[in-house]
Amino acid sequence: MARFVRRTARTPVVVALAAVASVVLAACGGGASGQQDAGGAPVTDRPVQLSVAWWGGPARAELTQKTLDAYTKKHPNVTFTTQWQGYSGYYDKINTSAAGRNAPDIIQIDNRVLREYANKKIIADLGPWMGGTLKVDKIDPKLLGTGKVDDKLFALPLASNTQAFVVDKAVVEPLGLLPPETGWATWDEFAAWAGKVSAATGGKVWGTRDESASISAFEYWVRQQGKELYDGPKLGFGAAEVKAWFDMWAAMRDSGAASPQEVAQPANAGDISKNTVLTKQTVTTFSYDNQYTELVKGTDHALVLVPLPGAAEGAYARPSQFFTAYSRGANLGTAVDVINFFVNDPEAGALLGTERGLPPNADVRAAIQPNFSDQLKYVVAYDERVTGAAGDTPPVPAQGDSQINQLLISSAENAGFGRQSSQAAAEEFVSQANSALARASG
Amino acid sequence: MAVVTEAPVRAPRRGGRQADRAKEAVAGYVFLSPWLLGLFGVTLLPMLYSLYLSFTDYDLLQDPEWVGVENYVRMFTDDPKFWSSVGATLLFAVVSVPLKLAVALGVALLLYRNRRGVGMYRSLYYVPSLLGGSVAIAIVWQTLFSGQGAVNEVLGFFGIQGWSWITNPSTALGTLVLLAAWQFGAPMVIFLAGLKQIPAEMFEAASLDGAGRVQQFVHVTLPLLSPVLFFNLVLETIAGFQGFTAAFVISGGTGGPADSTLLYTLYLYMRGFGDFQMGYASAMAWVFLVALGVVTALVFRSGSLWVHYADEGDR
Amino acid sequence: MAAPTTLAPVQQDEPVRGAPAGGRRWYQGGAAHIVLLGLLVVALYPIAYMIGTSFKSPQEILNNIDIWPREFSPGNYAEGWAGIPGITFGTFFLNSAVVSAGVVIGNVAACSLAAFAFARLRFPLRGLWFALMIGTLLLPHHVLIVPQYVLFNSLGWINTPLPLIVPKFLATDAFFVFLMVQFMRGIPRTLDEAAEIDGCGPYGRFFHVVLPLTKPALVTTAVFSFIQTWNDFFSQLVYLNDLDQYTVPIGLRLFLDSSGQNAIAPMFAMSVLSLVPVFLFFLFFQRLIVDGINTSGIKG
Repeated sequence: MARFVRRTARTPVVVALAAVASVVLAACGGGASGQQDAGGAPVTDRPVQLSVAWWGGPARAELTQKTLDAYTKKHPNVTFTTQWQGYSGYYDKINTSAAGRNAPDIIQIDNRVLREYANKKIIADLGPWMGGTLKVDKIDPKLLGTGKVDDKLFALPLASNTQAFVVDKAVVEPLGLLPPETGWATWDEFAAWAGKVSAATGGKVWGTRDESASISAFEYWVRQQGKELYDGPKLGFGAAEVKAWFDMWAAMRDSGAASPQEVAQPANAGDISKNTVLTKQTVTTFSYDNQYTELVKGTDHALVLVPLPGAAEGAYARPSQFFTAYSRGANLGTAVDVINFFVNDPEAGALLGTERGLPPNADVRAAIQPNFSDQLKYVVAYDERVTGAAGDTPPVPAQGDSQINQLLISSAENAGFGRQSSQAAAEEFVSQANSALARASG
Repeated sequence: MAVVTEAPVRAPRRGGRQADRAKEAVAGYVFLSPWLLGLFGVTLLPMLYSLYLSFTDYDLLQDPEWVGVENYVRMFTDDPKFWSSVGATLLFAVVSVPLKLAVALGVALLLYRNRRGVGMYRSLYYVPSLLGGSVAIAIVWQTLFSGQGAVNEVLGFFGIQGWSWITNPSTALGTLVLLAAWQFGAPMVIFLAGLKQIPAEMFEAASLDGAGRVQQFVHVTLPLLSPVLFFNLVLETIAGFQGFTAAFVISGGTGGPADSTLLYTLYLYMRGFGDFQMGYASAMAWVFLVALGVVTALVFRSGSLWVHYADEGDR
Repeated sequence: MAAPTTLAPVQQDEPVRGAPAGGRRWYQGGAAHIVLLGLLVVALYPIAYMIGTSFKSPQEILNNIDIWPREFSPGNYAEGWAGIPGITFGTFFLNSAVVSAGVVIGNVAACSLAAFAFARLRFPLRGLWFALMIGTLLLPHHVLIVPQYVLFNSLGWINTPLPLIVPKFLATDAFFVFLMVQFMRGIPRTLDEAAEIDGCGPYGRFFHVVLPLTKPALVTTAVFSFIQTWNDFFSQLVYLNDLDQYTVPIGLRLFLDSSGQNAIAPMFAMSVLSLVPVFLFFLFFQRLIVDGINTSGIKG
């Protein structure tokens, strides 16, 4: 076929391509977003349609839809289109639509992307509406602070949760090994306890899952060492901490207290259906407390929430998700009003319940508390107990946070499967994490 | 198909021949016009745009920023994961492509004769391929190859003590290879179509010459099947190197355990969408295109040595 | 065997190798059946596992890894069908059917036109175009998602099935163009030359000679396109926003949210159900793929 190529008249093709390319480039490279109506009042006197996006399951979809319907009932001119799906692939879609300058007006996010979206002006600074359209006085300031980037409020927490170890009561209680409500005083005590559980079950069930790959558990532990995950845009810890963390879990694996990495690995990506307590492979695993009501549905065993071992300062009230407003949205004022409705309106609070976690507005929480199920009351009691003694809320994660999570998983797996020494894995993690963070905030 | 020899010699007048050529060229472009429209409108332009992006720092959210060849330099000099993904992809493609083609051809050979219930067999053998990369099959695969899964039960029957194949970094990629080979339906169907195309007389002639089954296969079936084998080889090679879906669903989009299933396209996707590095991902894509282009060109080049077309007498 | 003399289909039920239908054949057939059945058990075990799982209760799914449920829970199907608030799975099936049908028609029509040009006609730049077509197969498509999204967004096509269907009418799926080119090249050229001598131009040759003989490849394209579209998750997710536009692959993933709720049991039930249309589609058309080909089988 080469002889056809020889006869190629290239010029017209190139010209045509250049012409079309310039169209796409123009479409992609729009100017900076103008937040013209910053602080503008909500528009409810003429038809407005807003798009709302969130991740979650069917139950969340139903409650969210009802809440949006309630808003429409109050303001018949405001209607909604919704986009919802599971967590997997959620940001791919949001990022793609943001790249196309076509993101939804109201976007649910978590703090993995908060700094990224705020710095890159995907989401609007909510400051101009504060005190007006947006009321924040009933929200715990600590929790509200988690939605601030460089002291500007970009995101409103929809719910909060805190760290926990979930323990299979049905297995440990008959063995006389039920941990006290306050948990274990030290990680050594925890390791000894887990070792006893493994031994008492005859090696059928491990005392704990190997949590070395869990960035959330690591964060708790590193806070107990007086550090944070991030120090501004950089890592807040060094290879020595990571090595000590890996070594601690290696010792637990070696003693039989913790499951081998082979058993732990499927849940490393954070998928609740791989939870090793639900699969009855281990007695203990890390979880956020708001997942408790979902976890108990997956097993016929009774489960309890216990704080992570060691000092209580590791814990903090963590925003499980936020609502944010797309900075290029045509009706920012209305979008902010809807966000306000979700967080502060008692009717909305009653509709939403605790599906996303505990409501951030204290009045709303108090108003709906009497209707809580026993399980929920248990979660609230745990949450209040732990966050009451919790340490300071860490700043919003650095840009590039999602990569750090992934890097810790690979390094922990390399160490856990013995493919690298804990020293080598820790050093590789820190060096890759540092360069990823440097590039992300570039 | 060496049997087709020269095309009948047509001897029209010279001028007529030139007019024919021009008419044929016009017809060619008429037939090609939808494809050309698609190429320029939908495919080529985004491709070229991604080529441009590969020379930029593009985080999806802000405008791309020109950085020259930085992405390419970083890929080759400063990204250990890039090389581990190259290694995993090569291993995956080199093992899964021949395995899948062998299974597909084997089953097709068993199925192509008209025995009772053959339609049902064909359809049932195709069922695994109907699933694609569904979540359900990912969960099934994870269970089958887990520590207590069915695979270990069967192995235990033979006294072999297995482990959790899918969560162990040294065997996880193997389970992906098996998943790819298991979904052999598409090449199987194409092989079947090709086998049916072989005239029965060819076998009769070979039988009369005293050829055994193996000889028939080597001297009749394989050569006559060569265009189809070629087609399957090209496409499965491309699909094998691109092998995204299996790795994505089985590892939950992480490439784990310990990056052992981090295939090239999965890594590229994670960079582009997860890490906001679409410029880098685009550079990876173009390196991939060039590398796979070389491989494909080699396969095409080799084709002239072993592929026989029915219409080749005319070329 | 130079030129074919007739286009009569080869008889189907005749033993292909013309060996006498004696005891040896029967014996061989039996052995082949045993091999086929044995392989089939292995190949279908995961499918059976999937079906078994779809009848397990939510708790059993997580900790019973046997193939059959201890407790039969057919309720997963009802729960799955109506499990998404405000919509039934029927809508997803309908949407998937619409998108798949569009893709099937587009691919069959457009790819056969392009393939005919590549396989049968001479025109300037053919080599270049062919190389470009193969080239489009080689680029990982993830880097095209954003530019294509921008393109379709500027056309106002987001949240409609158009971005999923229209490109197929422009033969953007090079896989199928290549498939048909390969197939058409297997049709002896003597056939269309005979037609040419009878006064047929390129258009006549396409419609009256090549296209009828390409039926198996057309059906293959239809079947593969259908299955591919039925399973395709990512592009459908990117382009469709509203729940009532969602297709089956998106619908199935609505049951799963790794960070919170999980409804694996109904997801399995709907996965099994979603296999039924594709299986029937394949079952119905597979005969045309492999048998239809015999009309062109007299070449050689």
